[in-house]
Amino acid sequence: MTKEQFTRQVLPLQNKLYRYALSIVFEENLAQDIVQEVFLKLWDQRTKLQEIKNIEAWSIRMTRNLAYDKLKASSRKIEDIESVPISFVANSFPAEVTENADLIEAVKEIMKDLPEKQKEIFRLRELLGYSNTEIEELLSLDHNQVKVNLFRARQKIKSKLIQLINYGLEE
Amino acid sequence: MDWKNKKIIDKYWQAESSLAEEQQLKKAAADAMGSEKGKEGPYFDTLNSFSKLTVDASFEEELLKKISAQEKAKPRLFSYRTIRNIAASILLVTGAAYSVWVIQEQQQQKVIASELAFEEAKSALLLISSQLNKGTSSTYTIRKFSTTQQKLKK
Repeated sequence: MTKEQFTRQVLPLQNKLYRYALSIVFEENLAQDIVQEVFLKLWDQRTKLQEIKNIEAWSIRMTRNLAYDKLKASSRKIEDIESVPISFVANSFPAEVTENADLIEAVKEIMKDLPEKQKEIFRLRELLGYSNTEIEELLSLDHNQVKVNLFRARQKIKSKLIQLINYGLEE
Repeated sequence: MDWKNKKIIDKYWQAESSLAEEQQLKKAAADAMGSEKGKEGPYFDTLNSFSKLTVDASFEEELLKKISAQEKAKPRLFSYRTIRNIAASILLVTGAAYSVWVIQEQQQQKVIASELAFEEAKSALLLISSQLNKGTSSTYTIRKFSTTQQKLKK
């Protein structure tokens, strides 16, 4: 695959992969780093890319794996940091406020209590706009599993919204 | 689309709405103003806004720069993966060869040990066989002495 082909066929996935990574790590810079790493890996494997049937699905899987690896690594870092004196930690991590912080926080809150499978289907359907058939292929699930999990995810979110609305009215 | 289209909202919560209907719903929620958004509007609005997030404008440029830099870098004869595979193959072949050698050595040791045991047994048997007839005359003499002694006692 030439650089031109790569730019034409693979790079247009950048925003989709970014939103996907962001919905896992909830941190804009980290999500962007992950997408960049994914593209560099894809470029490294460019001779193989011609043989891959669905580059988009392949890229989504790569992004997911890398995002979870980064999350694991950062959680290990946090564990290490817990042993460091508080005053030092407080100075080392200035609170980063981004333009989309509230939006990202809202999505994080919506997804918070969903089980992993429902969370994954929610991401792909609601945030990336994949159809159920595409989700079946991406997650190797059958039609019913996707439909049932999407239904359950939406029901959980609906009840959470109702709770929030009622709480707001009572106040 | 009428934002207060309850039918589509219900279909959404039942996971029976189409992607097109959902997109219309999210767009209508985003277009609705203030109190028009209703109770569920902010939720659809949030999803709509999130699905429009994009990478920084400089992202592609920076990425292409890195790709060009990679291309310009001296090409490696073998990739790390190939080197790793070759190393693993060498290790596997060496391990297998060593195991075969150890097994052969053990078998050879066994053969030597059994040959040694055979030789030992053979020489012991030869020693016994060489002495077999030498005791006969002495036995005859002893038997004769014993018979004579018994006769004398009588």
